[in-house]
Amino acid sequence: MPEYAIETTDLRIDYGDFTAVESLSLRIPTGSIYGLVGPNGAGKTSTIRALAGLLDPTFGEIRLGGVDLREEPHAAFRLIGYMPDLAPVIPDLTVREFLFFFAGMYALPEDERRPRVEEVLAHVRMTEAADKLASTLSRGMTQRVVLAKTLLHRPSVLLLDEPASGMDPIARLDLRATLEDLRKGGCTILVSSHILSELAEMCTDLAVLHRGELRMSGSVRSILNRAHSAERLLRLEPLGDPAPLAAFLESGGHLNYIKSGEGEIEGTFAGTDEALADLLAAIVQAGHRLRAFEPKRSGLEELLRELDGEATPK
Amino acid sequence: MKTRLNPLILRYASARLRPRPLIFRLLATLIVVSFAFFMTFLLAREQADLDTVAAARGTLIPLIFIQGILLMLMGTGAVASGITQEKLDGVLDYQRMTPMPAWKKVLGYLFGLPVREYAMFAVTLPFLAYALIRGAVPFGAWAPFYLLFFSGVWLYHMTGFAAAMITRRWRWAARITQGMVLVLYLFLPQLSHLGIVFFEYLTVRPALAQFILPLLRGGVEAYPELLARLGDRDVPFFQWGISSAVFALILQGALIALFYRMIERKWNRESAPALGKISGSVAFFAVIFTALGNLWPRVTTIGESGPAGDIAALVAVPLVFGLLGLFAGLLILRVICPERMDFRRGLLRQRKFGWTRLPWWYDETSARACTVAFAVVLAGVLYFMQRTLYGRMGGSALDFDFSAVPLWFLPLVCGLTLVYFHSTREYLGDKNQLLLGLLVWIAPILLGLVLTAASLELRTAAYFLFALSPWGLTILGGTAPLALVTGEAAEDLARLAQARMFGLIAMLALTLYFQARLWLWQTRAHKELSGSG
Repeated sequence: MPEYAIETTDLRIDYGDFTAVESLSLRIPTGSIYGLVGPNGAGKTSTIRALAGLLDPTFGEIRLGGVDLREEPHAAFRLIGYMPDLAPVIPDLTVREFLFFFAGMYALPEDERRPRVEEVLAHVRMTEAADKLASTLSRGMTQRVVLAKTLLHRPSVLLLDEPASGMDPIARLDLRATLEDLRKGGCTILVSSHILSELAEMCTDLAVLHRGELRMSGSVRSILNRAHSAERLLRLEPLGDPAPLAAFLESGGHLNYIKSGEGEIEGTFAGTDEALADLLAAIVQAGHRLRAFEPKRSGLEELLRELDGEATPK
Repeated sequence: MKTRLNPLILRYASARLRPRPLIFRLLATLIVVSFAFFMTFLLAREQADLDTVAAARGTLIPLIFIQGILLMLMGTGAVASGITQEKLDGVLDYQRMTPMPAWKKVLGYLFGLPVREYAMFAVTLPFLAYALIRGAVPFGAWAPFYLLFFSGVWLYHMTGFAAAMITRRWRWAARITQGMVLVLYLFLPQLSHLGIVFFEYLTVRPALAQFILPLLRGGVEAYPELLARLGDRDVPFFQWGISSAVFALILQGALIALFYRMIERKWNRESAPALGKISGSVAFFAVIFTALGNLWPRVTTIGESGPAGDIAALVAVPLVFGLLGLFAGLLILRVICPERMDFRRGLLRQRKFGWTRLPWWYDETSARACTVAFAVVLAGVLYFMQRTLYGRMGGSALDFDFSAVPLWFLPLVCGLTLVYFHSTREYLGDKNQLLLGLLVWIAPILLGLVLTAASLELRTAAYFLFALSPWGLTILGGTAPLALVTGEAAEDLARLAQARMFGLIAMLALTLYFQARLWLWQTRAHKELSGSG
């Protein structure tokens, strides 16, 4: 496999006058779990559908495993597994028939089909439900069946659009473990979600899409640092009268906005986790005693607001 | 069990051949077929006192009728609705991504979706075998018949497939294609009276008339004249006569190829129009060539069929050709003209790659060049056809002033209609153009008819309203010679001529207006997108 399993250059996707994705250039290293995060309408699904060859971009180049999707679509299709958001199944087939069907469509060698189907069924913990009609499955089970279908032909690039939607917490944990197994096996996974924390737990790298543009990308740690360096709410509960602590924070310019109330202080803090730790040390060194020091975890919304240049809500 | 069967066929065999629903359908088919078979056989054998051979042959008609219902109607509906349902469910996206070649997928769907109907068809086979063996039907009769029968079945299935890939509503896809089969069998054969015989060869009727009817008691003469005629002659094509079986196979094969091309385009890119500029142009010119070939014998034999036949040919041949050419041209232009958003996408791509212009055959390129080519060819062939017709009228018993008929009028109207349609299609877009079509293409004709019904005094206004619609104007132009020989009053003839000129000027003005607006919009979009880059 080449260094980058997924590469897009200057990708643009238009729906009429609306530009869903603009100048998107991504380089996703082979063997990574890459998260595509952004609010609804950010262009995640359009990007993934274009990568899957299901949507014709206005222009831009897409290479999957070094194969140009436009020039050699069938070669690219052999490499990729795609799981859409709200993935459908064929309602009038049983789970096993559904998987056998796709084993045939992907031209798996005939003597491999049965063991491979059983293997992926076991992988997604659906062996017991294998003879149920697909139309009778719950949302979460359907997602697992489609994930099994996606894995059937051992793709080296996985494109998963909101794969955890509809899954219960245990299934989510299973999904995370499955993705990690696949990554260890050399598979590259692109997974989208609008929930930053969900992706942060399973991804090695992240890209933030907003209004069709790539706003930032990098390792999970760097993105989270960036997210946490955005303004966030800080709540402090001093022992005794809060006025001296409020005066200290105000005079030192530690917080941007301070509101004192019944035994507590709230303010907004801009800085990294390290800066936050420094502030706590400074408060203690100044002789203030605290019952609570509570930074609210910032998330995607705060990050995107910051990227948009909007003020953090007070 | 190892199998090399197409996985799509296996998938539908699993889903649609589940025992319980299948047994019911097979039983229902068995009851209907056995009733039709034994009724026909026993009536012929016992009541009409025919021998076993004749009685067995007599069962062929009901058997073929039932087989037609099963495969042509029900099977076509299964293909159309099945594909649309898969598209709506999103399952079709999975298939797009599998590396199986498009032709294998098409074959899989073509034989997989109607697998239940094929199973029901199989129920009729023992009865058919009995009829063929006991009826001593020669191989040379039933084999070509069934070849054409299945060619027709696959054509209808491909039509259903293509319709489903294009339309968004699955109910529509099934209804449209089933409706098309009914129209082919009930309505279009009537066009044979006017010389357009090729629609007949999209049906199984000529094969029935050629291979099966002669074997039955009374021969083809026992059947309606139109059907009987199909069996005993070759298809007139320019100065040649082509065997009807060969002609049917060529025509159906060409259409199957066209539908395959449409399906393949939709497989590769769902947002693509069903036809590209090149395949659309090939289809248009093929229709023109085939229609001309079919009608040409009527053109060359004018003056030989007496006054009534001559005037009918003089009016009907160019008018039918013009309307058919227009219909084909408008249908194809509707597919190949890009929407505004597609045009803009093309400009973006052009800017991106630094091209001075997009190639004419790109889906995003304006269809202006194709439109002009269609218009010139249609008008040119029509003018040539009319000149030949009028040139050969020297030997006719008709006595009227041929020079009073402007030969340029009908070709000009037909050509201009295509250009008019193109400008509104690309400028107004799909929905607005449909509205315009309703208001300007159809409403004036209906209003004109209402006025005429209210009072003949209002017929002048009706002529002018008729002339406003391109369809109305084409009919007025095509029937101009009829008005000369039916002894219309001079005043009426003058009004008709005025209405035609009014219609022509109105259409010309509207065409110029919309073409100018389109050109301005395209230029603005060009500047806008060049500037933004």
